[in-house]
Amino acid sequence: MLSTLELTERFEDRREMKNVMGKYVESCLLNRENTLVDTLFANRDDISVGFNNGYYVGREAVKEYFDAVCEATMKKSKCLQKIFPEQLGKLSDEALYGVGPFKAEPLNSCYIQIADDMQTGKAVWMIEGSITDITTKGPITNWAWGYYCADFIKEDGQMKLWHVLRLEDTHCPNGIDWSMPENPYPELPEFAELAEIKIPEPNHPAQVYEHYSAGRKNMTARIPVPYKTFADTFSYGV
Amino acid sequence: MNKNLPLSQRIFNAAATQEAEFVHATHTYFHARANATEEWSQIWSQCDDVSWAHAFGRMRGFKSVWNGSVTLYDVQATQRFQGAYEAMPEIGGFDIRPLMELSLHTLATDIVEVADDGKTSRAFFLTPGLISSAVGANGKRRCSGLWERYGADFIFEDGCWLFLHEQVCPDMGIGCDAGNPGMENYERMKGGGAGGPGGPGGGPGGPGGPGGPGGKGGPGGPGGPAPGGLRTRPDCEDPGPLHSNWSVVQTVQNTVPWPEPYATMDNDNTYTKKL
Amino acid sequence: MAIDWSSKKAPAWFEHNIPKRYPLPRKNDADLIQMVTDIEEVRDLMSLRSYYQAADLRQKELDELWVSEPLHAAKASYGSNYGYYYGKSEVKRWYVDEFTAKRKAQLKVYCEKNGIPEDESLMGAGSMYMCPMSTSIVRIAADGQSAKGIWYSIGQESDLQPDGTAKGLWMYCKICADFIKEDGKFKIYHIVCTNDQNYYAGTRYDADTYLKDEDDPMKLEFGNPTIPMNVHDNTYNWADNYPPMPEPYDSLTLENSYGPEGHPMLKGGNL
Repeated sequence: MLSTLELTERFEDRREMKNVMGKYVESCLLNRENTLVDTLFANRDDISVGFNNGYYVGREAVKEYFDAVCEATMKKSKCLQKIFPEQLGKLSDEALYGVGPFKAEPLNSCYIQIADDMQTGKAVWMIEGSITDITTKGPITNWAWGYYCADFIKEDGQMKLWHVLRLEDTHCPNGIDWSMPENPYPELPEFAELAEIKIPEPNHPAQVYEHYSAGRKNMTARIPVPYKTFADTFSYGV
Repeated sequence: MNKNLPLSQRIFNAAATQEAEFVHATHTYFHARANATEEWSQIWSQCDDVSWAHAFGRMRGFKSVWNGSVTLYDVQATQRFQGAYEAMPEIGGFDIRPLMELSLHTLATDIVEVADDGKTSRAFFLTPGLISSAVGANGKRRCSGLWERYGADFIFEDGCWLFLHEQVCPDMGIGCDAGNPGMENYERMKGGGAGGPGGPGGGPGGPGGPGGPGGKGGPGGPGGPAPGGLRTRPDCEDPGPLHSNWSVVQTVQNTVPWPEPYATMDNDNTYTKKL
Repeated sequence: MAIDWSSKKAPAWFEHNIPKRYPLPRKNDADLIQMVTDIEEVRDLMSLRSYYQAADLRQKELDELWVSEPLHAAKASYGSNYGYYYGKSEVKRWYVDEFTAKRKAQLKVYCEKNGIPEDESLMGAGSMYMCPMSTSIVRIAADGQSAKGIWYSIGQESDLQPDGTAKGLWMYCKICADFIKEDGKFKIYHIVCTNDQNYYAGTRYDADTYLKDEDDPMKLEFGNPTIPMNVHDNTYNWADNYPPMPEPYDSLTLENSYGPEGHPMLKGGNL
């Protein structure tokens, strides 16, 4: 039986976890990925972010990854600047940054477990996302079904991100059945320079998750279960 | 959330975060039935500080909000009724408002804060939604998907948590499920010359529809009178546009920044600054 | 300026809409944080259900998340636009058994297509099911023994087809549920999952060629309910207002529930 104070603290931790993850995805929507590590993650070196193809482990690797995403955004914005000189030609780099991508990832089906010792928490969300990206085929909006999973750790009394795992079931252009994920849009010469964009590979590559197809096995995110301390449970990191 | 408050205040504030979500969800379900009268009489404060804003502008004060969000919204429902009746003569006796459309904006990505003083709360949501009808005014099915963001302030009044301010930011409209908003916007902008960003969405409390096409020479303006003659677009104390749809020639706007922990509502912590 | 409701001269219809507000329940600290905790428990429960659905763990869902006390199980129900499965065994007949039969048929297709022997550990291959839960309102009964909630879900079901390809289906559903405490934990008692629209991914909902009512995949999938009836007619959007938002209440009865006994067409009827 938890005391009134313990119930209050557990609720506050839950609310904090939801707020932190909400800020994470809204920062991505605002193309501010390079702010995530310093504002939302714990101040420790063993943080990680994972995707279908592996994990970026360690503070430096995570920062490098997010910085690379922002550099890519800048290249996409500059590419659009060349295509639309009348509207964008006079903008400074600072004002131009962020023109292009629109990454809407609604966090739903929030499910949370907080450790008995209240030092860590685990959460999972289901997403029916819409990712508009600027690609070598031009601006394409994609349905992005999937999951966000996260481990949180308490630091100075606040829940901070520790491990984030984004699992994507579909990344398929709007208007096409995601079970037949072909991208029918042709390469466009005015966007050819975007082929040079390089995002560093995960420093822990792994087949973490597969995109959906008629040939895929049934897979979903792993769901948190009640636990005493983090040592007693699984990690959304490596 | 401020954890350095007396326990009693922390518990009150914990309940307040849930109430902020539930009051906003109550809006969702009322709005889906176009039950504007119920919404603005039940879950809104009626003080002079209330405001409701969309891309086309902000109404300030309950009288203005009631006129724009209830009176003129009901006008829209009556304008659509004739088309619905011609398609479905059996609807005699129905409440005509829900027949207009199903305008459903789900609440996701919730970021909620309550003032240390417990008098107000603030919430941000990303809202994937739809506007659909199995039988629309032209007798046909229709469905649009919508991506919008909400910034809402709430006030504790006479023992109830109530809406104080709401700002709706439409970002993207989608044909369900065909077409590609990214490519369509690009092609429109390429073909439209010096087009501006998409125009603001639909009427107050209402469709919040996909923005108008980026026309030549500037933002798409507010829509004219709907068929039937009466205008449905309200006069706004703060004229818009306050927000523009996503397009390939603008950055993603941060019109309703998420709330940060705050002590009391002031001009730095509100979705409607006092003039 | 605030409306002066007391001096309004309005027809009777309008008078019914004089503010019906829901004050925050007056409770002491311990009781208030318990209510807050109970609300989170119910929200977690419905989220967990969505993950069990996604993983095809439907029997586990019924075993762990639904009522099991015989008096409750006998009156548990699962409703959709087209009727109700009534009683937990009837819910299982459709929700688990018919679904498992579908998955077994798909397994046969999957294994034949991939030239591998049928292996039940591969059940669900080639398919995907996601109903993200959003927009919740949860009300805990004044007696603390039950709860009612509403959610909305923009979801999808992607199924392996007999020819070995797959097909995605958008599903837009309003979900209302009653919960009742068993051994101190809230359990699902009644669910009504009404669908507003559905259409295949990559097809136009507003096309003239849209599915005819008799080909509606969600209607076909709902099978043969125990109580076939028109629970919600989406032809008229939400004109029927069913299932409605939960309001604050004292204690759960069948007549104020989301079970068939609480449906306006059956209230006081023969169930």
